[in-house]
Amino acid sequence: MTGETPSSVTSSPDMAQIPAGAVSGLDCAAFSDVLAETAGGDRSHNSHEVAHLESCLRCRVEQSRYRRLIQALNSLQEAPLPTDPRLESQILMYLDRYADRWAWDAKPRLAAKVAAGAAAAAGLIAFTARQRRIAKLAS
Amino acid sequence: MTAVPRRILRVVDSGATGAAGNGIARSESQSVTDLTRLVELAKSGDREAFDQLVRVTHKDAYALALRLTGNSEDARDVVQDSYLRAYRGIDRFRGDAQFSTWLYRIVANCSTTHLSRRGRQRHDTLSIHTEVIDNKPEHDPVMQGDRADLRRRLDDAIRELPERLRSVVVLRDVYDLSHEAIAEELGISVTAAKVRLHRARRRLREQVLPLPGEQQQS
Repeated sequence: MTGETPSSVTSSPDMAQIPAGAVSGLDCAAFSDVLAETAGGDRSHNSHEVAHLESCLRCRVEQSRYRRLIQALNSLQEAPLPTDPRLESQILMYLDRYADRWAWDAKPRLAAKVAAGAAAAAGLIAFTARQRRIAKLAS
Repeated sequence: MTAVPRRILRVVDSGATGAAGNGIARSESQSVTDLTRLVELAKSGDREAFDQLVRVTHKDAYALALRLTGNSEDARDVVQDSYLRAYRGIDRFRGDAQFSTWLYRIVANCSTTHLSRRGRQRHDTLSIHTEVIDNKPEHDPVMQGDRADLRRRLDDAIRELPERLRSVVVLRDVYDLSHEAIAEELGISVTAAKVRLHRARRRLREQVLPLPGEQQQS
């Protein structure tokens, strides 16, 4: 517990003195789930939810917190984490080491076809040799 | 794949030697063109083009892996496996999504596989210095400080999330993957992905931006 008050609250009324749902009479705790769901813009509020927001100061403040949270999450990709300078060469070496095996690992159908072809060729050679031997013995 | 990333990979920032060797910032469309050309060359079997793709994209891929795994060693393994898988599957990349989105999905899938193989429910702290680098500083130092502080607290809070919540919120709200793509790569239903996302957002909001009366955890 840091007791820190985020900067966006400083201009808001003292929310600690407003009990949840006191304004609208609706369940603000349950409405918090709605705010978490709609925060990313996947869906908009329906008329019932809009009515609650218009009448509930607490939920409007929470909604603004969610907006700020989503903006901050969106911006995290712009703040890259430090990277080991050796990583690039390590990846390339890893590829050099394992890329040659890729045909057999990644294409089992191709590997199966090659194996089947080799087996068929060996069988054909053996069959031909046997037939020749039989023909030779017969003659 | 339907997701369109809100931001393309930082070709210039990532230190690509060939694509942005002179260090002059170029337009995003030109960067996309560079990536598209590299992808086309890589698909035709040009190994050097794929190596260039690695050089251009590996920092973003590593950052995602690090955020998903919470551990630099795991992230390194995940990124290596991801690029090997990308190399093997580059001919199946149809180009109907950004290359970055395709790569992020591979990283997400590899992370899930890696963590489940290790049998972890991670709450580890990063073993590296985790201070974020703001490469687009605002002119207002107060604003900059507030944002940097919020990002730091948010990064800390994300690391404290259970892995199953962390992966969903990172992939959706940081890397902008669709619910469907996330569900597919994590092997869960779309409904489950959404439920986890909402729980993760709520936890993060309560921890990083608490309402008066809510306890903020340090």
